[in-house]
Amino acid sequence: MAVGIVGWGAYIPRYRIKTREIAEAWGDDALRIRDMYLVEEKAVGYIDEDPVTMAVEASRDALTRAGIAPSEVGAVFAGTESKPYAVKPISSILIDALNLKRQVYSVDMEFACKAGSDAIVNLMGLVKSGLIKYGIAVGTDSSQGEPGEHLEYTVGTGAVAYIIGSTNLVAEIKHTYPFASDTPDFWRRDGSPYPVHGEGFTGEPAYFRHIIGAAKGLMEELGMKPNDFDYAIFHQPNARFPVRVAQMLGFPLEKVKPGIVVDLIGNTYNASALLGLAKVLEEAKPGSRILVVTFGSGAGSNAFYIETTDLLPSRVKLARTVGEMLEDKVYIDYSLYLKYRRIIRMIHG
Amino acid sequence: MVDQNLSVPKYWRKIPQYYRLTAVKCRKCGRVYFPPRAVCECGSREFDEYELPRRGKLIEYTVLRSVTSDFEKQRPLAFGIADLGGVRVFGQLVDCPNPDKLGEGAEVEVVFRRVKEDSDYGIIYYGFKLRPVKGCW
Ligand SMILES: [Zn+2]
Repeated sequence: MAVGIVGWGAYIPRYRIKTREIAEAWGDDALRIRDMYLVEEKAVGYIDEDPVTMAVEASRDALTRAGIAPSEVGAVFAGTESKPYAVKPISSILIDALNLKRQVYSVDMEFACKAGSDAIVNLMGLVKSGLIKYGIAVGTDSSQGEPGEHLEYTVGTGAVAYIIGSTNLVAEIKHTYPFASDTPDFWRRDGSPYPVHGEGFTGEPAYFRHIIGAAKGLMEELGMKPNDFDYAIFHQPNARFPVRVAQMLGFPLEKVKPGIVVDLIGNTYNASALLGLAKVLEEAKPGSRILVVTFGSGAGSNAFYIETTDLLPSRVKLARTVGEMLEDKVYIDYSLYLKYRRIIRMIHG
Repeated sequence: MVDQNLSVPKYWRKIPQYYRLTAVKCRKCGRVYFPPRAVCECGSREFDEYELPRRGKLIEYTVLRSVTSDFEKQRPLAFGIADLGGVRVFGQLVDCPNPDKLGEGAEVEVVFRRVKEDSDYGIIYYGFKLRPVKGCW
């Protein structure tokens, strides 16, 4: 049985702050920061936006593109690492916001930035086993970056949703391959407002080792080479890492660039690589072969081999596109950024 | 618009209206009511649930600088009345720093947002708001 993507939806907030604006607030050299991360600006949710609201927006567009009735959905899984409630699920709010039936498997998943892709893998299993007809996988985050620390330059805001099923596919997910280990590269303790990096662990032993492990494992099992793919999309904590991991794996720049969104919206964590995939689906021709590799700190990756179908092009315009949302923006200054992201501590309000 | 003085059970009962703009449509004459009513103008009490369209036109708006304490930190607040498939709906206008730049009949979309929260520890109330499709700056 072929399983894959029936519809997709993305959401990027309208407000943006430039890297230069943040650098000026903290006395950093803006050019040096831009050169380090290749991030021009990032998306900032308004004061009333959070991972729940963005998940609803992305999921509504995904249902519209899929052209299915909400009552046909049998599971909804939300991958996030920035839940507004420590205890109370996003997925149950999605049930009522999307008018799903009550007989729905629903859960929130956490594995740093990887859980949204685990939602996809789990739904593939439920569809293949015949337990559900369609499922919604969401990656949504509005994560934390301590003011004045480098993480603040890249932590963005966004969400993406995929309807997984076995009929009317816009793209078949032909293979998956996981690679995970206990690696202390990045964490946030319970109750702590901001995460911290494990000294010396973020690059080679974490991001590169896991993405390469998953990508190589997938290609070996399939007997495929980088030449066999039209697009390669990787998790994007900044714009340097995905380009470098592509080089290490042997993918040319032109196959990686279409799936990079971090330079304009920042790292959207659970939405990151999957938002890149949404952008690629907007331009890919039928029969395109796509490699997607997600990454979550802690650490692990999921690699996907995806092939688009003839149904893809007609679904692109049915809802808001990533391309449109990247253009639709209002710049704010650092003080509004602090207010919108609720970084200022207030006793009243 | 989510009411300002809301208990958790009252909010919970109104979730279909707040989240999805669930209206009612009269089985006899087809009139649509949002918020829902128990009796139609035609006298009928038989309704079907009906979800309003999520795109429509802005009819009018107003900008408030004096608001209740729950909303003080979001000032100024813009509120609008939108025509959603022939039904007039009142709601907060968001992502619109300069409503004066909105033309008459500007296209608006219904979005899902946080409306208010009970301190740092209580429940977060979600509901619909109105957002100009093209922006206003
Ligand atoms: Zn009637």
